[in-house]
Amino acid sequence: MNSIEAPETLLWRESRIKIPYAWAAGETASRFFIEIRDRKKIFGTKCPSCDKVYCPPKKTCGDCFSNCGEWLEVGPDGEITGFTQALYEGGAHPVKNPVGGLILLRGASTAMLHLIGQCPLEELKIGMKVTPVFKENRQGNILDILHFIPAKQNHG
Amino acid sequence: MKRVAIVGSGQTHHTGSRLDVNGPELINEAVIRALEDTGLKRKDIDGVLIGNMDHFEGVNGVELWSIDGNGGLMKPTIKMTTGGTTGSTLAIGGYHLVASGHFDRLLVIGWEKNSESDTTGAITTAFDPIWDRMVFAGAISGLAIDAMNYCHKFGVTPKDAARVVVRDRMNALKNPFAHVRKEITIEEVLRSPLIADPLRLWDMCPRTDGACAVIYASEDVAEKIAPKPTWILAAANRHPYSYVGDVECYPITSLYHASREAYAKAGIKEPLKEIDVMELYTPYSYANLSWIEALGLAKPGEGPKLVWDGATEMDGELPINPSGGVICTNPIGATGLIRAAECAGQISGKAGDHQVPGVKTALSTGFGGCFWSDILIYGEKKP
Repeated sequence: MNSIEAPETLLWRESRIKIPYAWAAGETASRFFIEIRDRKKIFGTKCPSCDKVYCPPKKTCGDCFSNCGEWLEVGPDGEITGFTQALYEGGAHPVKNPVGGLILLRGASTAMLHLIGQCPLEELKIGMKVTPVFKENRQGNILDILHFIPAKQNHG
Repeated sequence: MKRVAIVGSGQTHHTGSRLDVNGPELINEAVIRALEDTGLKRKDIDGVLIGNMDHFEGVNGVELWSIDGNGGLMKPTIKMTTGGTTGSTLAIGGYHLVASGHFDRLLVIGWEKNSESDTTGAITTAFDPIWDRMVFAGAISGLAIDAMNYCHKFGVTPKDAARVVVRDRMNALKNPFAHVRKEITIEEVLRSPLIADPLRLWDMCPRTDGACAVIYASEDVAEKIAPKPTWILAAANRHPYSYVGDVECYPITSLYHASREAYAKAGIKEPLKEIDVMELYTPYSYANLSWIEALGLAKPGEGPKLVWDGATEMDGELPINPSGGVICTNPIGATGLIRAAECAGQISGKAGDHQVPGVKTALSTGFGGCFWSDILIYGEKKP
């Protein structure tokens, strides 16, 4: 909301809409998250017509309109194809001033939007190799991957 | 299919907060001005097409809620909403409805009161709840990633981006309806707070309260209403994937393909030479560089050169955003429609102090969602 400065003759009503939702992940996303939760493995789905490997997985290829029924393990390492740091307040941000990036996992054709950690912003580069850090207590959602970190840190 | 023209328009004086009016009253201001511009009365209108992004005001069913202000009482009233492209979808949808022959005089309205909620919070509801929202949702971060990619590819600098902010701010000084009407220097843009690398505060559009109404007429009545109607020569749009990881960052493929379709329909081969003015939905500075490349005005990486050479200034070869553009005014549901109204103003010679002399052909765009693009091309000559 804009900060409100108004003469006394103009009124407004402040409120908030808070409605509970339960969004279905569907079979495709559920399988993806269960593989991460139970086995720390990342999978994509392949379009039988154009051979594109979607990660995050898709049930349907938007181009070919084919059912992407084949599951392929991808990553877990990949490279950064774009990133930024949000320095503004976002109600849904998982951490303060998150660094978000597009991660193209090894073997995938599309990038996954996720957090990047343990790297000063000035050292981050497009093309940098990264690897995921899985959470200890995984619950079957996208944040079961805590974030991606520069690949060398995991081998060092 | 009927040929279609814009015969008049009306805008509110756009500003950060309009506490003196509620939504329907704000809408009514633009509608009254559009009716006055054409000399038409509410009784002359066959139908109303209206749109905004519901979650910015938290009121669903705007077509019903605003019925007393929008002029649609006991008339066909239709709503269209497509996120950031809402205004340009309205502009294209209005064209389609009148071209269909079902409406002769259609009132098209786009509006928003962005002051009434938390813009970033509301935009977050447009992101996928499973994949996006827990990680990195919001409008600015996707745009920042796009800008960073473009800079990485071609060595474009923040100074290049700041140059277009200076241009749009200068233009807005001459548009009485613009929201941000204050000159700025390149240094001031570069010194403004970083909000998502490389985007700084003054690289971004504002949040605006405002409405825009445009009256469309079929070829059967257009010339009786307006001495100089603005004919719609072409419309096209493309919507790529909604998940940012699925979208190619450069060139913006939706704009590239939509513009090629529109150029072909309008018979345009060299847009830089053949189009006289453009009003682009460029909500952040870098878009004014990379997207003019996608539009075919400059080769890849050479958008900044076109801007530095002055080609897009008011007295240049192809003035861009005479109104001050989206960098200066952004009532989201109205923004794409304002571009159409501004193009029609330029062709009909009603643009006032920001009139470009001798405009025969104009182009407007709309942007939204995850790099969605809409295009319209307008001409003074009946197609």
